[in-house]
Amino acid sequence: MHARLHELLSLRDGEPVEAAVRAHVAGCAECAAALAGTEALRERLRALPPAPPATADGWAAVAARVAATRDRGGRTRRVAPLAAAASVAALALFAVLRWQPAPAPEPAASAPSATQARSSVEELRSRSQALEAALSALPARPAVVRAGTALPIESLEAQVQWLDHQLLLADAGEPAADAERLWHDRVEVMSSLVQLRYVEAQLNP
Amino acid sequence: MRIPRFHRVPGGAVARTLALFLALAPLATGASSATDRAVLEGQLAAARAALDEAAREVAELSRQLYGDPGEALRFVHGGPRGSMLGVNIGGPAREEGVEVMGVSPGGPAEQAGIRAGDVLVAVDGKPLRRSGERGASAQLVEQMRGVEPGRVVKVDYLRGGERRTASVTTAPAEPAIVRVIRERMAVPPGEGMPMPGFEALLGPAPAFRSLELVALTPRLGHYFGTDKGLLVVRAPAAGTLPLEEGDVLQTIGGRTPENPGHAFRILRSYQPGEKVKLGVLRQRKSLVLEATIPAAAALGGEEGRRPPAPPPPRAAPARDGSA
Repeated sequence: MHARLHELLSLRDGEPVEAAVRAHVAGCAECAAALAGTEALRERLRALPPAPPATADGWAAVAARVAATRDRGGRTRRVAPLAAAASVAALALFAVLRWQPAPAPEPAASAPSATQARSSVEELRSRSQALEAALSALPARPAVVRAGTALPIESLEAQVQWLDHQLLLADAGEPAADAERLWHDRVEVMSSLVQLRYVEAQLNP
Repeated sequence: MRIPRFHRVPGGAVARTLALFLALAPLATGASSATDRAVLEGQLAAARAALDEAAREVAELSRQLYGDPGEALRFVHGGPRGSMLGVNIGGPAREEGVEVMGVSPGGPAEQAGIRAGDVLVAVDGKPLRRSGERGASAQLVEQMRGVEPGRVVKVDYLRGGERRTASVTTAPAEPAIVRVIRERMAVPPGEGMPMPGFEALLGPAPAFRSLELVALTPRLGHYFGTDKGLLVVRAPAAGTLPLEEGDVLQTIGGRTPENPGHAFRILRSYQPGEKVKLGVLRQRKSLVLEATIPAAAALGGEEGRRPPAPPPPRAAPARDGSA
């Protein structure tokens, strides 16, 4: 079995990983390429310029700084890596987000087979993990926080936390909603969260 | 404990907010050389408007996920709630431990450094182990049910075969909407202001949405003469809240906001027409500002800088975002 995303990220970051996983990645071209991809993405994100100190003019400062760059005849070294990293991040996110969730399952007259349900949950899990990886690749939240952006982001985060708790209850055999529907909702909410966080990062270079 | 019903969620939120990326493409990749400052400012305004529109969609998503006020209120008034760690679990069944498939963004486990791939093996020294028909996840649920929300628990976990311990500040095991209701319940009773309905608590976007705050750093605190409060980096538009850029916001209705997000949640829990006292430090002088929460403005531009949206036609419901 190929290495999972979190195992690749652990290898990339020098964190402890099971010896068997390490050996597999060393001998598997596909996993090695995936590992190299995570390293390349990290390097590009590290090229992001440091966060500017908080200023008293907020959005106006962002606009003025970018406009001043234009006036000097194009991108400067300060803006170029940001734009490049942003493009890479955008492409990665588009790859994750282009998947459109199928409608959440409705109670059907004839229940789907167990195999179908398992396959659907596995796909949703995979999507969910990809969205988490995209989220973790984004820069940290900005220090200066705008109300209109922070409130929906916090709301989405709280929703994911509750969905995860529901999935735990379902796994433990407690009363909970259908697991497939919970996974579907998690992917839906995570997609919106990744997008909002991405836009927030773009507007707070 | 009853579980709120989950409602079908159409793909609308994702599909519509994808438009954000298109709207922001010039910003993301660097504008062309012909882009002038005015155009750029227009793009920034459009991006902020798109974010506000996304906020409305998030509110709609919340309504769909927790669309039954009765269920949420049963949580509010119900018995002991227990706590949650904020982990997404799964993987093959194990004799010992619960594998973390992912951490809930912004949740307790994430903040404590736990991450995907870790295997939780004990909480406060009590092992998470399969016992007969009861799996390790059932043990975790049972243990967390007895933990008061906000209490710090010691979580032992395995990472790459190495045993580690994290201190996790737990969160209440309850839906997001219940947190909103609790913020509201902490507001002192107003003059004839009843508990607002879900519609009011979840949307539309608040009138103060352009307010920008930052937590004071020691150097900023030295400059402003205090080590407590949140600096107003950008004041909301005139006619919303009487805050000015450079104010240090210290209390809202007698409550001390812990961070910008907390301040926004407190402000959000007040409804249009309600009065709130804002404790601020302005030019090193303590002031108490009396504010009346304004009605939410139409989306599409910065509040207070555009004329109010025209009244909706009688036959059609009001719709935000028409500007």
